[in-house]
Amino acid sequence: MHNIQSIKVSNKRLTEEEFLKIRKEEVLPMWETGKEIENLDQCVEYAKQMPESKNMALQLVKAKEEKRFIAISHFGRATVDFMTEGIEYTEGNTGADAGNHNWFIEGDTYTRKCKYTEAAKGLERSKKDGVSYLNGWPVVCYGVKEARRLNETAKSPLSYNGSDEDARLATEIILAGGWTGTSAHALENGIAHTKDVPLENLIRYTQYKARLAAYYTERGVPINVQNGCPGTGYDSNGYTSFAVVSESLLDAEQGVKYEHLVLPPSLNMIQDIAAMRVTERLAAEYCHKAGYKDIHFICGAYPYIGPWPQDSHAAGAMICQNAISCILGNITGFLLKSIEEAWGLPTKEGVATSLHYVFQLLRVMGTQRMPESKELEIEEKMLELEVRSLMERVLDLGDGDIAKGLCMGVEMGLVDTMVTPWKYNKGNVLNIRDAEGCTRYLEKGNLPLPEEVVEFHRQKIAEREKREKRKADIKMVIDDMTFVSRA
Amino acid sequence: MENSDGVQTKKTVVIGTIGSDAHVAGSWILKRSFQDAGFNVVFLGAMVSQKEFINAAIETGADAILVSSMYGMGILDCEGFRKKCTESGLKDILLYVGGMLAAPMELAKNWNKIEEKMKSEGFDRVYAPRTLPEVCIEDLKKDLKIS
Repeated sequence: MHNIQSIKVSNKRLTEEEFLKIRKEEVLPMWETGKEIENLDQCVEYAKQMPESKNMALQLVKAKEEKRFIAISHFGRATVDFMTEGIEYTEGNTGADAGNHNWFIEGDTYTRKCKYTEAAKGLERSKKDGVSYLNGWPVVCYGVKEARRLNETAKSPLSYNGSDEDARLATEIILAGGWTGTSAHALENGIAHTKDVPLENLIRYTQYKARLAAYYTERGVPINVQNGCPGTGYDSNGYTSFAVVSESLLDAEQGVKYEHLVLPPSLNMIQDIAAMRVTERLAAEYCHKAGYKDIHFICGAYPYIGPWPQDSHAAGAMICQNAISCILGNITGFLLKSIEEAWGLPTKEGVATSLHYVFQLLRVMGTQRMPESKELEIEEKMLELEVRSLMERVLDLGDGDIAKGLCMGVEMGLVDTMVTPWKYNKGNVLNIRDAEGCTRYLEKGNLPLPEEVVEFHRQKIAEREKREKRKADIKMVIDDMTFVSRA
Repeated sequence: MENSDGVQTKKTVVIGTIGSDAHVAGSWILKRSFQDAGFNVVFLGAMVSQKEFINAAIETGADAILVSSMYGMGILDCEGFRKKCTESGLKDILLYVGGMLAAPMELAKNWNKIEEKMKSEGFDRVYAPRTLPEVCIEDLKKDLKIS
């Protein structure tokens, strides 16, 4: 068992000297394309030339102020030609532009795990066979020149999915390429993307990315930092909300000023809207208490993260359900999947179809929002009790230091979720849906939940047992894991 | 579990998600289902290399290796698997693979082509996404001649 003294990482801003040393000695040498961006100030100068319309951070803030929405499209395959053609096709056929749309470019998994030799091999084979064998765009293999080419092709701002084990070099390249969004969240990288990287390391890599984003921001290029927790698709909303609130402190300490707080949906709209409200409120409150000022918090949502239906009509309904929740909940910047999600990475037609759905929904729903209700109030109250309890316990464990507290909390199973590849997660929690589809704890493991919350979850599960005339058990948990895809 | 001679026997399967893939849900569901069906399960979790699968099968005298892949690069990760098994002395071990094995839509929607490719790699059975664990359990019982 760790004691607090043995945890090397702490929630402390990297000094410029420390940051530049890591950059020179650790990050840029990871692959040959690192050499192209050695002069950081020249990279910032290039990024500064981008128009305001191509800046994701500024576009999201503006959309929030004007109560508008930004739809964010996932996209990524091996070749540059596929990417540029897809970007041009989508923007040309849907009316997507800087005011209503951003790109969220996926790197392939090899790149995301710093296996650049394998990514390079996959890229060569893809070019040779004319088929993309990679599940994303291998940004590190291409380097800054091609990153700039993609950015110059697009009308809407580009961001990069920097989730995974270590996306420091990829983030360096895309920011040098004029892209204006990345992600920085450590805990999620553990539970969703890795098997054996300890949280201490994940926090260290995340701090570097956050510091890099702040470096650009401080020099006149605002960078949007996605602080989110898509997780595995089977997490409780207490877990994902806590992950985002706790990590808002990590990002803020590094100087991040544009935090995009992004949660995955449970699919119950009331629970999802309540979760967003609580997360934004608590992130702002904890950051304020810690003395971090002038941070823009933007609400965001992922699409459903569990397995999707193969049937394109059923998948279309999922896209619409996800988007309607965001519109009703005033969730400014939300990510989209495609009707092809069950099959793999979207084609340009798939990306465009999602946008057609969403833009039409935005038109017809206008200013409709979720009215206040008793149900919403209860969900907010229960989640707030849960997240506060976790935050207080974890901060206490870390002696006020959230980085140390998170490491201790995971080790003690106080921060815990189910079905993850990550060996450090205890996995003593089982989540299940209630009669209305909200996520609840069937087994709470060692989570420090207030008794009122435990009782509420118990009652809600009992309602479902009664309605379905069967016991809530592991079979029901597995049914819940796959029910969306069984269309 | 009984074999065709009526002898009680507990069969062992190695289960995991191959390559750099962190999607563990498919293999987690298989683990639970095979355990419930009376198999001895060696569960390797996510991001398992061919070598780790093979070593676990050798150490435990496994009857089959069940490979899950969900991130679309399974075709690359599974290349040469059968050859490595044979070189390691596991010539006759049953090899099953399933999941979202190819990322590009053109390929993913052409399931026959993927199945053909994986069978030519030496996999005994190849399962499309969303196959229920029961189907795989029945097939394995058939292949192992147990009831």
